[in-house]
Amino acid sequence: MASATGVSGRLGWFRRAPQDTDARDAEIKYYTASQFQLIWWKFKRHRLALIGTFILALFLVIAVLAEFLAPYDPFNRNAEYLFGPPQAIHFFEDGTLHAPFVYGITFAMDPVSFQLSVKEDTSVRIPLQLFVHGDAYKLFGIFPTDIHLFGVEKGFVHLMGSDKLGRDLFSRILFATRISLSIGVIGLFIAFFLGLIIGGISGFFGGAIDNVIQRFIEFIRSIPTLPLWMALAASLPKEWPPLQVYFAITLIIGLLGWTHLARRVRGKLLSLREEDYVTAAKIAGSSDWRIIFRHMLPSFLSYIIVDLSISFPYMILGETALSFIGLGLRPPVISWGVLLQDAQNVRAIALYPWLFAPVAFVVLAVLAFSFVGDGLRDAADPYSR
Amino acid sequence: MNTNSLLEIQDLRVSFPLDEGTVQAVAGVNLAIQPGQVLGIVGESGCGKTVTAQSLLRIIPPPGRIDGGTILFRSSKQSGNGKDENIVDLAKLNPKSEMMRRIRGNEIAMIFQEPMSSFSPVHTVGSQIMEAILLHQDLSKQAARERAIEYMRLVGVPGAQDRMDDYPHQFSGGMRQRAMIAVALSCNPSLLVADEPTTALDVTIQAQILDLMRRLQQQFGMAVLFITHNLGVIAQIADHVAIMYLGQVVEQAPVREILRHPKHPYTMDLLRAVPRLGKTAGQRLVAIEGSIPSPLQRPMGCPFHPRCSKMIPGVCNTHVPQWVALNEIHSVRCVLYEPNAPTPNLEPANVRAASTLA
Amino acid sequence: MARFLLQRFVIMLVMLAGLSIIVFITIELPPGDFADRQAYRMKSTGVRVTEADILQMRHQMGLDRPWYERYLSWIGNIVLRGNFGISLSQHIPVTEVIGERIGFTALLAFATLIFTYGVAIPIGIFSAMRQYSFGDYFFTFLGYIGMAVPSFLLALLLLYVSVFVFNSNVGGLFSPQYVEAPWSWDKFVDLLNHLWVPALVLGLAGTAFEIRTMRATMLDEKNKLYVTAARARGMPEGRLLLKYPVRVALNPIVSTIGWNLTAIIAGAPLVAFVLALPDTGPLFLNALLDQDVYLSGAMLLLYSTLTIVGTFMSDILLALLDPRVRYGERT
Repeated sequence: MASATGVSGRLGWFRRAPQDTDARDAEIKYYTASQFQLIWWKFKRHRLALIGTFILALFLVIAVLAEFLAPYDPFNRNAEYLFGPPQAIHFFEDGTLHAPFVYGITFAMDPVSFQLSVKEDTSVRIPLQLFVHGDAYKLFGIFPTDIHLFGVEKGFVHLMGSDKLGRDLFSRILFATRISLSIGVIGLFIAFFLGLIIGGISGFFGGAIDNVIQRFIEFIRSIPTLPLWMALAASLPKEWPPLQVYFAITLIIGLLGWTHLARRVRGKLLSLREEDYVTAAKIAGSSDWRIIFRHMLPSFLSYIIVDLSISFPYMILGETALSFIGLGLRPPVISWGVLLQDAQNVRAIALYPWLFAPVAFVVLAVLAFSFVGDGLRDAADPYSR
Repeated sequence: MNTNSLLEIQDLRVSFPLDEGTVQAVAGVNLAIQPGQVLGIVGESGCGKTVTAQSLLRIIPPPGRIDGGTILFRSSKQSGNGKDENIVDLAKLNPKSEMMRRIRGNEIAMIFQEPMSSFSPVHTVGSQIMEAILLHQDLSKQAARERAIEYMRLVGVPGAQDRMDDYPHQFSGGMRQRAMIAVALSCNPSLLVADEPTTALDVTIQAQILDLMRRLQQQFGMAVLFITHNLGVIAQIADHVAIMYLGQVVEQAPVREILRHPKHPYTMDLLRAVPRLGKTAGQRLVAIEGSIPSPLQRPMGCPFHPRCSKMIPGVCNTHVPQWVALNEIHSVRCVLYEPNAPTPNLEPANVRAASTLA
Repeated sequence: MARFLLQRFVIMLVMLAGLSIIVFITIELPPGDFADRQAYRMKSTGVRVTEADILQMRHQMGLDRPWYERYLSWIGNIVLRGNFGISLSQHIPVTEVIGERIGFTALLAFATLIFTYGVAIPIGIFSAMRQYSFGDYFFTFLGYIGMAVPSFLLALLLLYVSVFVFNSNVGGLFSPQYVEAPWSWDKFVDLLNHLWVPALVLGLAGTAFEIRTMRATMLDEKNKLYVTAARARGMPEGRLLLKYPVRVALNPIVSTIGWNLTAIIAGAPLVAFVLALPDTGPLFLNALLDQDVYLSGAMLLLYSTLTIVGTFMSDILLALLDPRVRYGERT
């Protein structure tokens, strides 16, 4: 019996031999890789996180190139097409393939209800074209041009319909993407700054200071923040110009997210304080700040990045909520929340469902960030297998 | 199965298929325990002694599985086909079966290494002792409670009556292990499996618990499978010892015999590493060279050959040693004692492989 | 236990005090004070108001006193007399405006909590027991969606679906015939029939979160030594799971009731606004938009009190469930 095991064991050993050298190579690669490489390898295995990254990259491109990607200026009004439904892109007519085109629009008055209804006029074919001339703008705020990625030479194209003033919803959503994301980024920056400073003080000094700050954070976390921020936003003077409101709202949003981060920073600092290499740095006479930034920060930076990516959705949702009810950004500034103001009630939803389109962008952005955050969290500690 | 044995393990093999490869945790273990005997299993961590113990109760953590072999247990409480005694192959039982459940705690009980975490933190200690009694004995709650208190007294928990309703975190480590022993004994098992029951305790408490276990073993007369990595502990409590290395028993004999006449090079090394009174001050303890190989890369031939001082190139690294009975009480698994050991196969490849691994 | 409760109770009082200060700040924050607004209103109705009149008014109302005196008289009125001041937009006492609406808000929050835990605990157990099964993936995916879609947008989506697909309106808390009717059993049943919609909308994110927590803790606990020890005692699998891992996994779930309630209360005004519920939500938003500071302040105070008291109660529940907390060994 024992010899039988021996044979199979030997065979197993023999068969495994080439794999083992592979495994050893992989092991060497693993132990000599930089921390960034390790995180990336692990992150790559998280498929949803990769999809999320792709979506976010797309959003980033939209935010930067909104003027170029949008077929129209967001304030350009198409008086012929108020509350116009989305136009479908067609590729076929009578079974033959064409370059993408949209049909022209005709209007019909219902003889009974006098309701105006919109119909595709299949006799007019408007081809979609690339790099057409349209509304003038300055690319990156510097280069004056009027080239848009796509558009039509005559007639009009509204892929996601138009709003009550006949403005192109698709173009407006692209511009809103820029504002909404920027609020998230700036808000995140504020939260990061506050969290790092307050959490850093709490964790590094410990003792009574730590106690006071921790009780304060617990207090903040136990009050329903959204109503509080709504109350703060409501107290902004009504006569403030939109830009000032934008910054004030960003600040309020930023105040939303710091407590979580401060806790993380503090927790990490408290445990790192006990590490030998920190003691060694202290004995060597490093200053407090040098110890924090040179020795401690690098070891928990990855956790902070994870936390930031997880709190980003809350920033975007906070802005959307505030703007949606009219306490946040105000027109002419366009954000997803501002656009959704038009879809506040059932009537609007019933009659003009396309006004609902920004929701898809909000949900997509939040999902993408959640996926990326999850992937980063799993990858953040590359040595935990 | 031998007519006397309480438990006989034959060629037991347990493996854990992991992402990185399959770990052969137990690779052909043979063991036998007689009723009332205390058998110690000794080995370094990772040698498969705990998994062997877990296999008896079929509580191997996933993804572990039994690949082969038999675990024959002489059950006295299962009255299958009208007989008083009934031999069950535990390795073939469904772990979730009624039969397995009736053996667990009732006929084979187990004590774990960590007294700190072997009780649920949100239930009283008393209720967890009573649970075992209620599961296996036809007693009322009140009677079970009294039985539990009785066992708490027996294992030396002071103020047993009051401490029944205390929670585990109110017990010290030593007290918890005593309570754990009370759970294990509460149904009069014929076999007690003790998995390093004293390792997590302070040295003074260790001595007390060992003392208690020895006393209770004599009182109840159950067989004990005592797992430890500490030869000193074994010398105090066990009748027989089995030495394990990389999932195999490499030597088995009565305690005195092993201590006086160790045969396997690994046993000899182990004994040299134990501090002893009477050694002269200048004598150093000898550590065993090298460390246990990665469980994913079992050495070919004798698993101990890379660390063995008596390694014969061309034999030990190619030939799997046989289980040899030196006499009625002493068996060993080493090529040095094989009556017809193979001659060295000194092909250059084998010699080179051996030297790189050593 | 008594010491623990007392300690929690004191913390609750301190928090309520701190809270009242924050609410007071939001009342004071908008530019101009009550006198300015009163004057503005009088002017708009054609009454001539001079600077001296405003000063006079300010003095009469005690608005020229230092802020701490004003704070004390404000909070004193609330605590001692239940007087939250006058609504600036409706010119009647705030308490009358809020009336029974706050009851609906509390009821909604309670119903949402019941929904959250009633759904999350069984699903969490299921997901942990059938890890990586189709059901587990399905609920994980649903959880992602639930956490990603903010409750007010979900309410909008639900409205959209109900109007288009089911041709009915899920808004409100009562069927038309019961809105003005006096309280009766039928009206109560009608309320329950409507209540599940906002409860579902408000509770989805929390439910998703609790499913994840429950699943993670269960997975953690079911491989712990004490479970193996109980198995080695001969405990049948089903009873084993319910008695040990599930029981232990309930503790972190219970300890999140406080946060969960905070999140529910925070989301409630917007959902109530979208679904046109007759609770405090729409009132609160309108008060904010009108800068009706006494009304919005009172509501903010009530909302926060609701969460703080709720957290206190969940602490008590946790102490009852977990002996380690009860005996002051917080780990």
